[in-house]
Parts: sequence; C-alpha cells; structure tokens
Amino acid sequence: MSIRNNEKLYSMIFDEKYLTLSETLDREISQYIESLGNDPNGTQFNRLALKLFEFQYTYNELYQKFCDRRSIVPGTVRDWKQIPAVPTIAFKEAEIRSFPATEQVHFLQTSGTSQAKQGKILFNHLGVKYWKLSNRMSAQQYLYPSGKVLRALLLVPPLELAPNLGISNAVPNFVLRDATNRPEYFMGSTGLKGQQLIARLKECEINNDPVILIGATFCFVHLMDYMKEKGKIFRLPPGSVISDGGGFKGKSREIEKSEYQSMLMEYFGLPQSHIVNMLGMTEFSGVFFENVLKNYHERKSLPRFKENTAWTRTVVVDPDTLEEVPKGQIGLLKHYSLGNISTVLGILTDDVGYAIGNGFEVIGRVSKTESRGCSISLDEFINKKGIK
Amino acid sequence: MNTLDCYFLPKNVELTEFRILKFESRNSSFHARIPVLTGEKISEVIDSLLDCRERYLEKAPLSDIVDSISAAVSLWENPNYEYRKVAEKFLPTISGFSRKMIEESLDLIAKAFKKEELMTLIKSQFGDPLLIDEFRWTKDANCYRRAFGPSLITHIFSGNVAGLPAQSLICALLVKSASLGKTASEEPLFPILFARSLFDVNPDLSACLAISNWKGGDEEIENVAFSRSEAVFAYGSDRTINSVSKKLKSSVRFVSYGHKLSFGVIGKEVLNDAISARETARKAAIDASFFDQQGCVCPHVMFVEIGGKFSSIQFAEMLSQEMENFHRQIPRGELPISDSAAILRLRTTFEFKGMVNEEIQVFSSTKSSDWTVIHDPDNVFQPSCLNRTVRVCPINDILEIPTLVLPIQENLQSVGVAILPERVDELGLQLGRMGVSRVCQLGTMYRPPTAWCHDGRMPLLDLIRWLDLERKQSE
Repeated sequence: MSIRNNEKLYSMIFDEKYLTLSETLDREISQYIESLGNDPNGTQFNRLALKLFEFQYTYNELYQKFCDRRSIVPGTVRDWKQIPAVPTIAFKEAEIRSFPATEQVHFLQTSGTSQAKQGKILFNHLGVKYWKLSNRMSAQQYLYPSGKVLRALLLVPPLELAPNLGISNAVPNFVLRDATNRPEYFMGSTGLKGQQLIARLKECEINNDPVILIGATFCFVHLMDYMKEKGKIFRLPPGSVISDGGGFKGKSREIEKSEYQSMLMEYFGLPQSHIVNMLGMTEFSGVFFENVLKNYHERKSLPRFKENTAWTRTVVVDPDTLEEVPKGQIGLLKHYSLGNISTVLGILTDDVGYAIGNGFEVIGRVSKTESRGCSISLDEFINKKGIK
Repeated sequence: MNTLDCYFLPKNVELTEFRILKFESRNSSFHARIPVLTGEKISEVIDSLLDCRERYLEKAPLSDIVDSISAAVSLWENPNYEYRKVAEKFLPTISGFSRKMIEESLDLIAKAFKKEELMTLIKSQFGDPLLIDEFRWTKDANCYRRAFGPSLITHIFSGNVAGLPAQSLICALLVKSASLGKTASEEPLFPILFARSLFDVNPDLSACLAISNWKGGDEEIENVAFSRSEAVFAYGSDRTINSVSKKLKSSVRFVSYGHKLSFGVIGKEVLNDAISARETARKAAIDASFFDQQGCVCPHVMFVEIGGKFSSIQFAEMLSQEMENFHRQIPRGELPISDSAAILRLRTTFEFKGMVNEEIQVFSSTKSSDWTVIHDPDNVFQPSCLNRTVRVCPINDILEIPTLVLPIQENLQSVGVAILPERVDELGLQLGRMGVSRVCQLGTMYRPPTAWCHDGRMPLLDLIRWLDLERKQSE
C-alpha cells in the first residue's frame, strides 16, 4: 500500500442529513440492543453494521481516509467482517470521532502505561448513551442472569475521583438498581479501603445478604493480600458474585489465571461459576463478560470464555495479513460493536486470543519485541532509556 | 525426525541426562537435544580441552590452523554438504530467517573465513603472523617478542546471526586458544554444525572446541567455566554482559560485544539523476533487509540530505520498491505475533500522524508485514521495531547527523554512506568522535570485511598477552 499526496479533499458537513441519519441509527440500534438482538441469523446485525459503517465513513474524516486508502468504502462491502477496523493505537495519535467537535461532552483517557502515550476517546451525547446502554445490557445478561438484585460493593474509584477513567465510567452501569441498592465504593484517593470493605463483607455474611464485588483485577490481589495479613476469609452468602477485569497492569504481582480463580474461591467461598472475568476497553462501548454465571443459570455445561453479545462480534486475525485465522488458532482480537456509534464500530486490539463458541478467549497482550540478533528493537531501547 | 543433538563435547565426557529445546514455526518444528551439564562435567570438559590444546593446538603452526579453518568453511560452499543441508532445513524454524536468507548468510560465512581473508585479518592486527608461532625479532622494541593467546576462552553467544559465533571461535583458534562455547537458547544449532565441519577436516583442531548450552547465569557451571578461563567473550544485551562481567576475576580478559545500532546516510549528490538515485535505493534496501534487521550492522534509519533533484519522499518511495524487489529474492522470515503486531502499531501510528501532516508517509507491503518504509520529517534517530521496517528522515546537511544520533551514542556502530568521497572524511571524523566504529559504502553494511575492527576493537589483539624476550639479536 502506498500513501500518496493526491488524496481527495476531505471535509465533513454536519447538516440536516447528519442529524436525521444519527436519529435513525440511534432508534434502530438502541431497539436492537434493548431487545438483546433476537436475530438468530445475524441479518439485522449485518444490516445495522453496514448502515453504521456508511454513517461513520461519511462523518468521520480520519476514518474516511483510512477506508479510502484500503479501497473499502460503503457500497463495496456486503459483510460486516469486511468493514475496516482501526487499530487501538490510532486513538493515541488522533481524535477519532464521528460527530462534530462541538458535540463533544465527555472523554475517557486510554490506559497508557508509563511507556506509552495516552489517548483520548471522545464522546458526544449519543456516545455516552451507548457506552452506558451497552455496559448495562451486557451486565444484565452475564452478571444478573436471574434478575435478582445484589448489593454492589465496588473496588474502583468513584466517578468523581476518576472522571475520565474507563473502569470508573463502566462499572456503575454494572450495578442492578432498585429502590434500596446504591453502589458502595471501596477505592478512594488513598487506594483500597481494606478495613472498611472487610467490615462490610462481614456484615453481609452475617445478614445473609448476597453481594456482587466488582473491580479491577489487581485490586482483588491487594484485597486478598490484606485479608491474608489479617487472617480473614469469607463465605459470602449464596448467589454472591465476583467480577473483575483489567488484568494486573504491573500494579500488583502477577498470578496465573487458574491460581487467581482458586484464590478467589478460597477467600470468598464462591463457586467457580460465580467468578466472572470481564474484558473492557476504553476504545470500546460494551464489555465482554465470561459466560459462566449465565451458563450456571441456564444449566448449560460449556467451557468458560468471553461471549459476544448480540450487538458485538469478535474476529481473530493474523497480524501479518489481517485476515481471519481458522477457528481456534491464535491471533489478534478484532472487535465490532454497534454501540461504538460515536467513534468507529470496528477496532483491532493488541490482545492475543482465539475464537471459541460464540465468543473468544484472551491469552494476553502482545509482548514487547526484542531483537533476536545483535541489534536493538524500539521496545528494548525504550525499556532501557524510558520515553523522552 | 526433527530432533538433533545440539552439543559438541569431548567423547570421554559421559552424558547421562538430556533436555529438549523446542522450536516451532508455522510449518515445521525442531527439537534440540541438549545435555544437562553440571560444574563437575564442565570441569571434565575443560580438562579435555586443555589437554588437547597442549598436545596439538599450542604447537601447531598458524598456517596449518588457517588451512584447516579455510578447508572447513569451503565445505559449506557445497550445496550438498551434509551440515549445510541440515542448517538450511532447520535454521529457518530455529532462527526465524527465511530459507533463502539462511542460504545467503551461510555463503557469507564460507567466503569470510577463507585462507586469504584470515591471513588479512592476522596481518592487519599483528603485522607479522609468525609472532604467534615463535619469537620474532622486533626492531623497534629492540627485543624478541612472541604472542600468547589464552589457554581457554569461554564464549557466551547470543542471538541468531550465525556469523558471530563462527568468528568468535575462529579468533580463538587463531591465537591458539581452546574454546568452551555456550550457545544461545535462540540458536543452539549452527555453532555445533560449524565445529563438526572442523572435525571433518582436522579432529585435533576441533578437539580444542567444546560447545553446548546451559541456562545463562547457571552459577555452578559458570563458576567453573569462568574461573578456569583466561578470557571470556560475551555477546548480548547490556543485562547479559553486566551479569557475566560481575562474575569474572579482574585477571580475566573480558571481551564483550553489546547490542548495537546502525544507520545509512544518503547525500544530495547521489539524488541528482534517476539512475544513481535508484541504485542508491537498491543498496539501501539490501542493508535494511539483510538479516531482517536483526544484526548490529543493519540500518534502522536512512538520513537523506535534501537539495538533490529527488526529494526524500521520492527516495522513500524508490526504497519501498527496492524493498519489495529484495523481498521477492530473499523473503523475510516468519514473525511471532508480537513482532507483527509491533509493525502494525508502527504503521498505524504513522498513518494517523500522516493524516494531518503530509510529510509523513507510510509505504508498506500489501497484505503482509514484509517491509515498511516510513518517511518521517522528525529526524531524531529512533530504533526501528526491526524486521525490515526503516525510516527515511530528511536532513538539511549531513553534518547535522551527529546531533540527531546523540540519543543512541553509546550504542552506535556502523554507518553506510552514499556520498561523494571528499565528504566522507569530515563526516567520518565527526562520527568517529561520537563512537561510530565503521563507516562503509551503503549496500555493504551487512557484510563487514573479516578484518574489520568489530565495535572498534581488534579481536585478536584483545586476546593476546605479549612476551618480550630481551636478548641480543641472533646473528
């Protein structure tokens, strides 16, 4: 592929047509998400994805360039899988939005490590609506399959402390509300409130009040370390759930997934089916939950993996050719979500995984590159020198 | 059967326990069988090495040693040579290079260590090769002089560029030292095959080599190896080199080759006509593609001086065409997911940067990560993510380069130039001050001459101890 100067002139006109189109899309997509699809052949998904693609191609200048360079434009595409997905690193370089700058009402900071630039994910009202809606609808299916309200204890900083942090924006939508259930936060500006949390868990244990603990994976590691120190273990009331996500991110010691799960089972007295790992990304409206609790509720015996909801799709691609790999083979995860109305519907991640069932499993992030000979790769150099 | 014994150890050392190093690529696999060694076993190995050295190598005339090495590398020229066929079959899986790239690098090794090249290497460092064999009258010092190599050298190899272990072992033989080599876990095969080809031509000589693999840093083994070596060669990252150097007594000669960075320089004068510009692009493509940029001699950046008829962007485009041509002749190797993903990240980053700055352009192979050329006006040196991804950076004047490579000063190595001869000296002087150790013609970066001062040193002289015999000159 060669990128030349003689590109067409790009200018986005956000006119009446834009408003009409976004209203139509909003109506159709929200209906689709709220009805949980009901789309066994995926024809509705395909239709909506192609429609959203056309909308985003028309109103997202950078995405239009991106697609033009690949000669994949609306009209030439019949299958959602052909819709160009933008690699997540692009969000660190550019503002990728399918709405005029004046509509922006919110942004999330991507979780750049100390070694990488941070990016911003921009939202207009519609973007915020779909972020909330798709998170809420995913949680309903995978954390509350019985529909029963659980007391929510959250191991993430509350929004007012971290207004632009993805997980703080996502997790409140994972709380099933009723008149009395208000989420309780156990992460503050000084970190995990271990003592308070333990006291609260004790109370719930005594009152036989089932809870859902939701938080960042590394917080659970810290919490269990703290519990070990204090000699505390719980037998949480039946029906209680733990949901964690985000990995260790260098913020706690790293533990093998199976060991981590057994520790949670031991420290909180929960069965495996009630420990639900999730994968969320700032660049992605919607979160992927493991299917275990849903399967438990539906009495299905299936392997544990992350499921696609009706409005999302995941494709595993070869990082060289960007073609889909045969099912079960390892590659990079490419996700599509109809909820990504305000950015782009397809994103290509740095997560390595494989397809399974109607979902996927993550093995890990791509590792840093190292020279196999006597040269030095960029990653090694940055490790050595830090970033300028 | 894809399991091979990857060790070359004295027959009398009994091996009882083995482990397997596994290598997988998309279409094949390779298992290297490696003995589990202990300090005690290494001690036995060293006893045998020293014994064989005393019986043969120490007394052998240098010309015999040179002839044997030359004969051994000549075997590798034959495409049907047994070990060459083994190397061509398995090295792609082990090292990640394409088969064609392996063939090319074996050819280079065969050429580099022929008699004539070896004699040039010796003469360029000693002047008089007989200094290694006998006392020689040295007029300026007014005494007799003789060179003594270490009795035993331990080599810690790293990485997958086959030429380096060969050169290291050959240097040891040329100063009549026995060698204990630790192969890199990334490439445990070629040094073994090389030693076996020496066995084919001169078993007395090869009896002074022992090569195997152990886990780098193994206290027990390395305590024995290092305490009995007079010199240690180490190749590898800063981390490897520091950890080896900490374990050595101060009396041990320590010769280390850390990982290095190289770049190319293209003067405006070669971009004034289409033929010369195209030819320069072709040469740049060779250097940026050979060894898939894994070698220290491989350029990461091409600095292009503006002011010629062809712009740096046009040069980048020509380079991209030549990268494709090279790829068709000598394909890049298969990559692990992380390396392909790194290329994808780099391309994406620059593609999006380029959407708001038309000076930034990405040229890349279609539907593959085979090669990438990025035209980037931000011309401060940045290492590449390797595997044939090269940046073309415009500069106003070649003398700006020293400032632009300041961030990598301590890792500088080769600079390939395409500039008029009269401009080379001034640039060379400035680069030499900064630590560059080789300025060569663009297009030859990948094949330094056998007699090169690798990383600015003379490998044979580094090993030598001199004896001055102060007596009158014999009549």
